[in-house]
Amino acid sequence: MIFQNTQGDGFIHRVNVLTKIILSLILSVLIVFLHQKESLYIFFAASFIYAGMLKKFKAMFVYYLMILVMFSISLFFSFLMGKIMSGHGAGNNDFSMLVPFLRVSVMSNITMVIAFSTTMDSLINSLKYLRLPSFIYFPLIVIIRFIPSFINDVKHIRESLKVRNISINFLTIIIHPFLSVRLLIVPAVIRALRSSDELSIAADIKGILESADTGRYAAVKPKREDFVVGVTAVLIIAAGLFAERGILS
Amino acid sequence: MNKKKKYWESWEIVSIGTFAALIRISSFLVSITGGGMNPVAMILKNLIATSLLVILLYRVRKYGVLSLYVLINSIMTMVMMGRGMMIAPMALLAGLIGDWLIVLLGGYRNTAAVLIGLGFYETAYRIASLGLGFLFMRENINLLYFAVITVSIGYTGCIAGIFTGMYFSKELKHAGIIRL
Repeated sequence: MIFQNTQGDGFIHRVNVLTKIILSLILSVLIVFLHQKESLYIFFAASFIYAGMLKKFKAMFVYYLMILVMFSISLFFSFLMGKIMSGHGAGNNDFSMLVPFLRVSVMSNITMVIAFSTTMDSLINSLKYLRLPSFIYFPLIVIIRFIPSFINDVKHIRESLKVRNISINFLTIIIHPFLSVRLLIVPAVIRALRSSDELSIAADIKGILESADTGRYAAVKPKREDFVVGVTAVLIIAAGLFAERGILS
Repeated sequence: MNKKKKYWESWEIVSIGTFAALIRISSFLVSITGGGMNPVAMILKNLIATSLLVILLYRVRKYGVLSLYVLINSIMTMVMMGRGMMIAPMALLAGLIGDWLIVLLGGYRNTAAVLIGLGFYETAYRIASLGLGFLFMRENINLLYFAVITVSIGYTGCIAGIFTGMYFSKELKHAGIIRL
């Protein structure tokens, strides 16, 4: 599957999830304030290479295609509004059209790395390492446990609908939206509530929450890859900021 | 041995995790079945998500449930779908104020308080999304028109979802699944 999370052994997979999240947080703040051509190109190129290290080129292509489609629709509306409100044109120059695209692409590249190279297990392990309370990471463990069983429940609901010769598709959603919800979502909610009760009983019996804060099952230490990514990120951010202030231009 | 009682009980934490997953999968199901940019699917997706959130608030009546849900949902969205990193702090703040409003206006047993708290969270979250959109597209503000249209369509579903959620909760109470 294109969007499947991979547990690869590449350079980017060995970088700690906390390093990736910290990098993403810093860039998410920084990117909002950047507006110069040079700095945005630097960050776009760097983030593109960073995401390219995942070697998930099909997924990257689909990601960019989705961004392009969204921007095309936005541009269409922009053009339409420009026509309606004369004198309030679509843009001042070509670059002003490109700036939002570059900003969104940089953030997409950065978060794509988190999404495709991080497993929930490694995230939970890192959160435990930070000694975060159990009420933060325990729901994440529940999600991992719950999603496969819930998908199975949805399959059962669909099969039971097929038996009654009912199919939920695009047309049913448009023509009978509330009937679709009643047939698909309501039984799913009832099943989810039952699963939730079963899971909480299981957690109580096993004493999972009692032992959750006592220790961690694997050490999380910064590796060589974390230092490489960290130092490179600092250098690129410095270059980007210099470019923003017009020193390189 | 006297052990300090934890604020969150296991069934409450499990419920928050279950609902976070349920909301995500239900929204995804409606999106893929109804087509991504289809207005009916957009309204329905938000309606279901908000209805389920109302059920969660009725099921776990404790200060911080909305904030904890927002936090877990943000982490899940970021790791599983690779988005939502920038909106997360604003969503968390909106969740905290929403929780605070519910307590201030009479607690989680008061229907009007839950309605106002959740309504505030949904409104603040959408305003924050548009504000973020503005920051990203400030060089060409006309691009924001499309975002305003889609967010408004979604918001309609959210507001309807608060009321359908209350209706659902009453039905679940009659079925003996949740206590009101």
